[in-house]
Amino acid sequence: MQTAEKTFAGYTLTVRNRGGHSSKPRKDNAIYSLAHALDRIEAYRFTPMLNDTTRAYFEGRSKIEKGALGDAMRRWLANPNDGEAADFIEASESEVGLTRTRCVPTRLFAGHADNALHQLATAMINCRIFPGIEPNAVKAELEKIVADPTVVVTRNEDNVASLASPLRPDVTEAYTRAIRTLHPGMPIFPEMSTGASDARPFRVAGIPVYGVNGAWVQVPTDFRAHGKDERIPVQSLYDNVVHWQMMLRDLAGK
Amino acid sequence: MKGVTAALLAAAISTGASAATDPRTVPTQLPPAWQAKTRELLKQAIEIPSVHNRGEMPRMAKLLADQFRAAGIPDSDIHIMPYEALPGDKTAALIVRWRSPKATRKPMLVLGHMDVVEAKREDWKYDPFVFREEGGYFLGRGSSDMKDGDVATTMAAIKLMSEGFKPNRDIIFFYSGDEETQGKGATLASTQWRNLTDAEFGLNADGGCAAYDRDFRPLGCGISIAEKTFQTYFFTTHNPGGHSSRPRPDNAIYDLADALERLRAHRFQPMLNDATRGYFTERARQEGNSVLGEAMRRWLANPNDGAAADAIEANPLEVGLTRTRCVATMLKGGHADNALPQSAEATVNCRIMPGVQPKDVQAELQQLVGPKVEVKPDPNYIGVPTPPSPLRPDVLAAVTKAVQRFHGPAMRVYPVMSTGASDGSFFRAQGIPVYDVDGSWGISPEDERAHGLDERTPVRSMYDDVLHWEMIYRALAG
Repeated sequence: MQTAEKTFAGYTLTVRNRGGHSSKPRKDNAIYSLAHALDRIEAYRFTPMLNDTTRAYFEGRSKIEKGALGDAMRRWLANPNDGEAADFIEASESEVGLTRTRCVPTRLFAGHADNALHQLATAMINCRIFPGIEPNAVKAELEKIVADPTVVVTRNEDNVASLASPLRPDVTEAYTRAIRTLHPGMPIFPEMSTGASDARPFRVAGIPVYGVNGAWVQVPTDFRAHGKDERIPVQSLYDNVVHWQMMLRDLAGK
Repeated sequence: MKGVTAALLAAAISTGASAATDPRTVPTQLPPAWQAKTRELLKQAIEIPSVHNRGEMPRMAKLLADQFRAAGIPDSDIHIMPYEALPGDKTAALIVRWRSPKATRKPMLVLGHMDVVEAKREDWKYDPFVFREEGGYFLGRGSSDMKDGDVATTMAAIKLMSEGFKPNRDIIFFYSGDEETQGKGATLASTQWRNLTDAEFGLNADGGCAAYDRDFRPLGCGISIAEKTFQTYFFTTHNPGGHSSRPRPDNAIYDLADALERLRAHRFQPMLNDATRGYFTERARQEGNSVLGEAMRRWLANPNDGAAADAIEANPLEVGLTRTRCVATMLKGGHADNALPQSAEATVNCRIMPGVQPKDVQAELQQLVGPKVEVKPDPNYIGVPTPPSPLRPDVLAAVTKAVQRFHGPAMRVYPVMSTGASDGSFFRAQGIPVYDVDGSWGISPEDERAHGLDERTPVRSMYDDVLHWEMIYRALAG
């Protein structure tokens, strides 16, 4: 059950250059400066963090997860400063983005002609920020990572930090009943979503929001949202109608 | 492409500390009435944004054609040739024949191009397509590459016609409409339209030969007799992508960035040819015992001395003259801000030493970046290596006389290899030797802004270039 979500924040890296004729390459080059900045971002890891939602999530997960991944979860919960354990968890396909802020370049643009040295090179950096961390602080951190004053970091929007919603017993009970009716024995725990949703502005405006959809997928093969060949199991869609019918009855019926 | 000025540090040693005159402040020798006509034509030319795909080339061709027509060239000798360059780019070339009443020699071809490289209003200080005169300069896209040359070659002919000059050979003017993108106009002109353009040799106005350094010392005038081969490659990376909230360990943009870091550090093998050997021999003499001069001498003595070649290449005046150079010029990647990129692509522009095949450069680049990155040549333009043109004594004498009239004997004239490709290569490939002999000049490197921001040309350079071409027509066709 989603009770928190990371803050979606977009940043733009911009490098400008005098440009010129491509037959006489200059020593400074905006594309190369940008590529170097991207390589530094690729190598960087933000500090691992835990909050109430993710702690509850990893406690739930560690009970069902055997092997090395479960061990890493238990080590990290016991010692939140165990960065190696957090790194191990983060590297797992099913846990990506849950242990820290993550930033990744999503778009590139540079140049105005193939035979001219470009005057402008930009990269979009999409960050999913751990709840409670201000996007302006991440901007400052990106500037430190890049460590090149010719690479200018700007924010693409003015989102404020996301907040977590407190757990409500009525919502939790209705959700648990609906899920377990369709999936007996399925463990239920709060979750921080790495994706941004419309819940964020409502939470910021004081309306608690809970992510309680009943769709299910196989992990990680069905994680394809925003990517190629997006899909959902047929049974998942049908089950979800029944799931919402139960939820609506429990929370708005008698 | 604007041929890049060959820099010859003539008399750098003997000039000593004495303050040289700022060449921009020397009065032009062009009479005021012709200055006004020249300025007006340059203004009109710059304010036609003749960038590819904008459909403006016929208007530009008509502007020049109208000048020749008004000066008395009959319509039957004025040909506006429409053609398609890049897919969908409906452009045009202009061919004008100024007939000799009693031709005694084969025609002479004068080449230029009417198209300009894209310029974006948001990148420039001023609107690139609004003509400005400021601080001794004309500003605007095309002011140095090469609407100044279009105007000078046209205006010089008109001036001579008005004075009753009759050439003793036909002078053919060819202005292409896609030199900066495809060079298809020059390809057509040197093959299918050969009946209109056939000539003993060509003089290309794309590339001012002369320059001064920051201390106003003459750097010499390089006549380009050879040029590097132009070839663009695309570096492409692919990835399954996904949701950007869940970054994958592999990433198309990171793979591309790694390739670009390797490209940045890569240096091609240094090479010498006849044009550059002659050029560096003269440069070494002029440089004397300076560090640069010593490096040139070491390299000429031992072409395998890579360290010497590297030291030369690192000098801003010599960039691109010692080897093949490739540089990333454009980037694109990704399809949405909140999705991992499924592909990323860099445009890499190479200037290849004459005689080296573009496919060999492709293989070298592929080996450099490794299997994660696909390296492919631009399918719209496959470069063809061209031979150097043998230097003609009559051309060398005519250019030397004209250049030294405006700049004095210290402005020496020598053959060079151009690092930029131009329409000349297509004619060279078809057996017509071409020489880049435009008389425009600037302060190096400040005024070298062709294809870049805030392009400009000194006012005096524009005006004296009319007289420069007038002298060349008189010398080679009179």
